[in-house]
Amino acid sequence: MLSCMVSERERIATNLRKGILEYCVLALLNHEPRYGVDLSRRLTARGLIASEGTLYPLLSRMRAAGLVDSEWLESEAGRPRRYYVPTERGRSQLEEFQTVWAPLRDAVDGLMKGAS
Amino acid sequence: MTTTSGLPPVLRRHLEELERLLAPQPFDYRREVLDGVREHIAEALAEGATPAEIVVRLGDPASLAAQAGEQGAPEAEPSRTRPGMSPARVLQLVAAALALGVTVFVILVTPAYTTVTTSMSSAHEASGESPAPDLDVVVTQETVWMLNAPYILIFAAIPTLLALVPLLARGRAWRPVSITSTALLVVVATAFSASFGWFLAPALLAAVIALVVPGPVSRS
Repeated sequence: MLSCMVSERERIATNLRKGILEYCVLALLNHEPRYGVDLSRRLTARGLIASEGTLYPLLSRMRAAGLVDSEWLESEAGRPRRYYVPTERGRSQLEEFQTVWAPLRDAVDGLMKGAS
Repeated sequence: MTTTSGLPPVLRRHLEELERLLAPQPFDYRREVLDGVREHIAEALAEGATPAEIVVRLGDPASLAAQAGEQGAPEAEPSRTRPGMSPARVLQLVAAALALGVTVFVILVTPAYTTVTTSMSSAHEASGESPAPDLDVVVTQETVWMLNAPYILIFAAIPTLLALVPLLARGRAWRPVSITSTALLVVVATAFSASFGWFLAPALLAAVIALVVPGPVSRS
């Protein structure tokens, strides 16, 4: 019974994350380029992805869709790393998302609090 | 393909497992995901994480591969999935059906050989009613089938078989197989056109268009 409820919760969370994960990545990249390990830790810390590895199929799709790009840069530690950066298209999609997200979030929050 | 030598066994196994599970995915997509994970491992090791920690944090290769499979290969628009057959597959099916249809039509129906036999009518000559001798003209029309069956079937099947081959190709092989068989179809259609006209042109057109519309395998 308990495991059934946990998996139901996980299913709902997975479905909800699916549509917004790309924008969360774009938001993380909006102010500075980040490398894979950094990005994946920030996303798992916020519970947005279940495990660090799942970032890479997501990044691959986002690159194919022209939302992110990557470049090799020398890190502070002196090692070259691949840094991900949003493209122009990625930035404009993030802006669009923000205009859609705020009213959507408020509407759902209102309903969940029992407003009619 | 993968440079996993020098990695601790637990990480090497993780990458090999991932590579195996991603095998059904398009080549470029698979390479990109594997590169990402490989770079992740190198970076995490350099930052001092232990192999065991890295493997746990990366998560189960099966769940990553399942996610990749569920979300499908990247397209120009990643959110758009194409259920059922891709436009290219449909066109290739049309090409095969057209090739078969017109081949059967040409073999069985179209008169390819016309034989005209003329002979003096002996009946008229004997009766003497007509001073001018009558010519009896017998026109026999024979189809390709009547004259050449069944050897013709071996040749006639070639265009249809060539049009069918791309439908059997899966995954990475699809594009090279489709291009090769369409090129061969051009050659065969040209050769056949000398004897039978361009009856293969519609099938050829469908096969060529199939190469430029979105196919079952994404191009990266």
